Amino acid sequence: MCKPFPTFFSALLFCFLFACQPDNKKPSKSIRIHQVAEAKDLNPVTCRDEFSNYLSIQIFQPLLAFDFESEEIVPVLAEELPSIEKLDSNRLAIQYQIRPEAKFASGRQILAQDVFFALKAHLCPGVNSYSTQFFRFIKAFKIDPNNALSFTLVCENMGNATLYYSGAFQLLDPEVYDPNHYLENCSLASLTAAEASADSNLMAFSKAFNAVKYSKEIAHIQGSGPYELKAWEEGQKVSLAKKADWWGNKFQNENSYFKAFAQQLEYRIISDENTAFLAFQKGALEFSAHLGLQQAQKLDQAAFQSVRQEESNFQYLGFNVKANSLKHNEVRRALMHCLPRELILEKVFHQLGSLTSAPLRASEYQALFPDTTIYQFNPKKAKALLLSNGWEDSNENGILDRKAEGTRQELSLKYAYNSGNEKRKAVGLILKQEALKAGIEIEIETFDWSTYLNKMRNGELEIFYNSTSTNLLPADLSQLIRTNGQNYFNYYHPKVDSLVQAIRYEERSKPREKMLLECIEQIHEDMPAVFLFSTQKRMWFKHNLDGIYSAVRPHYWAPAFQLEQP
Amino acid sequence: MMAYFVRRLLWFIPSLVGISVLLFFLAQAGSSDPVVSKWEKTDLNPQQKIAKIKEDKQKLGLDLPSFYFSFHRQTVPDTLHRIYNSKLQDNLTSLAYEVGSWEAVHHYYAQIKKLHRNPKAAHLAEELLQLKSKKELTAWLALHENERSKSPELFERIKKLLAMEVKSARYRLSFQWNGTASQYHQWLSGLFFNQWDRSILSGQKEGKRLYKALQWTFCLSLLSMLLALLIAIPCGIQAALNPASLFDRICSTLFFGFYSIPNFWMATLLLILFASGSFLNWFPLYGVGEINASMSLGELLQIRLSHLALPLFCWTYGSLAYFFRQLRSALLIERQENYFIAAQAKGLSERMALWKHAFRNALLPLISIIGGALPALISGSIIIESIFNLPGLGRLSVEAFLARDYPLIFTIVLLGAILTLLGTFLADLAYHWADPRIRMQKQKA
Repeated sequence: MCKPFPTFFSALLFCFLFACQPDNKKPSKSIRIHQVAEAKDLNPVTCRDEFSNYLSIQIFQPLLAFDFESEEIVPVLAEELPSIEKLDSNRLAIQYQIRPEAKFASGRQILAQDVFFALKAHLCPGVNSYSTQFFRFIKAFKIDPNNALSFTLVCENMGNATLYYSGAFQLLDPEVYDPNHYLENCSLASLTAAEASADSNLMAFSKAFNAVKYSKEIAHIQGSGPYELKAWEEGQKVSLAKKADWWGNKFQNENSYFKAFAQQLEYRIISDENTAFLAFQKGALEFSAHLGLQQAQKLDQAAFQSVRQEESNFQYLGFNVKANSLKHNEVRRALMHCLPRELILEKVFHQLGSLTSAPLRASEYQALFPDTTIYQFNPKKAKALLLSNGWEDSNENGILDRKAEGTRQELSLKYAYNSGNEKRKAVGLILKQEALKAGIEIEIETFDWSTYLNKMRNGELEIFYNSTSTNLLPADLSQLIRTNGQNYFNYYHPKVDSLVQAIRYEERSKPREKMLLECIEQIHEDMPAVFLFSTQKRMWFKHNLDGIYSAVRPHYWAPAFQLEQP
Repeated sequence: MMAYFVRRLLWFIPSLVGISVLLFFLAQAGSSDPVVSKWEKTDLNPQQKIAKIKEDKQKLGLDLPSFYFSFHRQTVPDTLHRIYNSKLQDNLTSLAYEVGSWEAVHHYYAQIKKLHRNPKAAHLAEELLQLKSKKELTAWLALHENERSKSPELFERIKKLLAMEVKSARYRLSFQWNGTASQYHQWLSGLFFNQWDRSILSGQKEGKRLYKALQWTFCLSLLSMLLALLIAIPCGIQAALNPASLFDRICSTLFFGFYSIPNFWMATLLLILFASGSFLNWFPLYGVGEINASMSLGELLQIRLSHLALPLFCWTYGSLAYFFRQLRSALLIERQENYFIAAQAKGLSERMALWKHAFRNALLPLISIIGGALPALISGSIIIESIFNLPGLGRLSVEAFLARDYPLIFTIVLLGAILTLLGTFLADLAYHWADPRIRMQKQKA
């Protein structure tokens, strides 16, 4: 008779032994890259997360882009940088020529009308585009009647950003993305007209274009770039395979966008830091830009190496200049003296960053203004500054106070950060400790990310930690500090406003730098924020992996990865 | 008896409606707006952001009033939700409350918007938008009297506001019937008309993604529960037959040893020991494995089992100890009962008496636990899914919660609610099968 217990446990043991099998062998020629979050959408018009954008730029191509090697704007689908002609004080004509060799995945040559289609797709109302507003400055599109590869854009002058944004959109094949020709006969003006959202043709296009198939289905994600989507397993991996006989192969000496050496790229999604580290150590990944610093130090230095790249951002401690005691300049200056930036960089950010004292990337700041002594950490000086401005410790509790509106008010402020961000919390704790030496009491409060953003936008926070991402275009402070910009500081200064506006439109570098310096001096004077540093990204890779690392986000160009044979 | 179960089933409907209303209003009470957050993270300028927020809200029906009806003070208009900035909403509402007239505040707000378009005076508009009381307005006016020329109409409006007497309107509530043009109705009808899975973030239907995630979580949870029961029941019976024996001690020590280890720690330990290659390289590190159409069933099973073995163990060992302990204790109690002694006196062996008589009675606490554990079939384990990189519902739920993607959250929570109700219903059925006394009580009821 069959005994149930032993039989069951034997079956269990059999299953266990049957299951014993390490990882599948890696497909040859494949380079596996670690990612922490899933790509959301591979439609280049509707995608918005960085990873999706990065994937899409390997499948699709724009006219112009920032080169990963030279870090300058280079032509990709454009044959060369366009010529720009000034039509009047506020209008420019930008003339482009497309590379005659450029082809979509179907093998069809790319023509000016395809550029027009891509632009219309971005501007079409109802399309879930995150970048519509960036291309609204393009007012007319004229195709050269004698040359199907040549066209002219008539644009509003956007200052230093005009050239880049005139060619930053990725091109789509209308035969794939608009098989019903909904956009074929519409003009740019009809897309931006007030009644556009009532146009049934446009609405039919946007409905079809927003569909999941263009975001996630392999058969419908096709561009002119070096790669095609081979597999997408949600939460697991995205695989790209190099196109056979890609048209751009012969331009590989021109710029990084034509350097596509990897035959297969596998982006492996592993959200857990420890699992990713184990996978990397085991050799199941070739590249990672997301390893925990402490764990990565345990990696075998003979098998792996790392590279550091400055990230395009600057971190700062913002002050709401309308809030309570922060409306007094001396309080903001005192807080500046209580912020040990070097210590924060060393202890909290593990030296992965470089100091900046302005709303500029650290390297940009250091190149323009070598003086780094503007912010001095000195709590004693902070206290002296406050005492000389009428603050006193009347009740001898260690916190300074002052009589205002008939009552004694203590110098007590709130520092806010978004919950879960341990680095921002640590900065708060350091500030609290140092500010106490100057007689300022800091209370730390935390909010979830959305609430934090809302409160920051609504001016409900007193002191807040924030980071601003930049690109490699000349500095434009209009969002950060101008009255009509985001301006989380509630800061207004007519001189800063006019300088910010002038900097935006000044093409000559010397006068622009002069105005920038003047603007930053005023900001230092008013101190609506203390600028801290630009962070650096540390990327780890196998010793035999050759690649291109850059200041252009996400700081590496995966198609150029090559595994040298040992 | 049938009538009792039909009644139970019918109770599902009001319970689910109640849960859905509760869920909906909890989400409404949340401090952040998903559409605002979505656009806030972009590089657009404030005006562009407001335009996009407006467009999205209109598209998703989030510009509608919340429920079929609403009550509000007469100083608060029924169109207040069309102001997309919550802080501004609060400021204007409290100002209207003080002056007792929304109409006056509306005209004042229109003048501010006009002023905002003038770049040289935009900062004044920004300042005014931050004010929420007559006291603040008075102070502002005193400070900026010399800038009257920038907008004399606005300054007049402010003076009128300050001169207004408080009217009783602010104490009177008015009832507003919103009918089907309400967010709740839109969402509820979406549930029935194939829109239940439309994500706020992507604007796309996420049903397929939800289904895939559900598949993995459901499969793992079910397997883990079955495995726990299949091991705990024979071990529990064996331990109850021979309490304090070597087998009982080994099982108790082993299961409770595991039980005391947190699952994230166990998962990390297993990965290092069995998958990292530092010690043993028996299992893959992460994921669910790659399969293709040309694989045989054996290969497919091997790939899946090899990837799921470690997560399955982590998922199982906690409940295993619990089931084992419950069953063992219940059986030990049943063994003292007279019917058990009588069964043995009639000639049944101890083992047979335990299986045939005591086991059924000892199942009652286990049924309660299993019924209660049914929602766990879909809730998944965020920790285990993250560590082993499994594309389950736990990770999807966290993503949806962090992004405030309410349609997805609602769907996941509603699924949980349905399973909770179903769990209690099935537990009832199982009690009914296991214990005739319960059957009789229900018949009497």
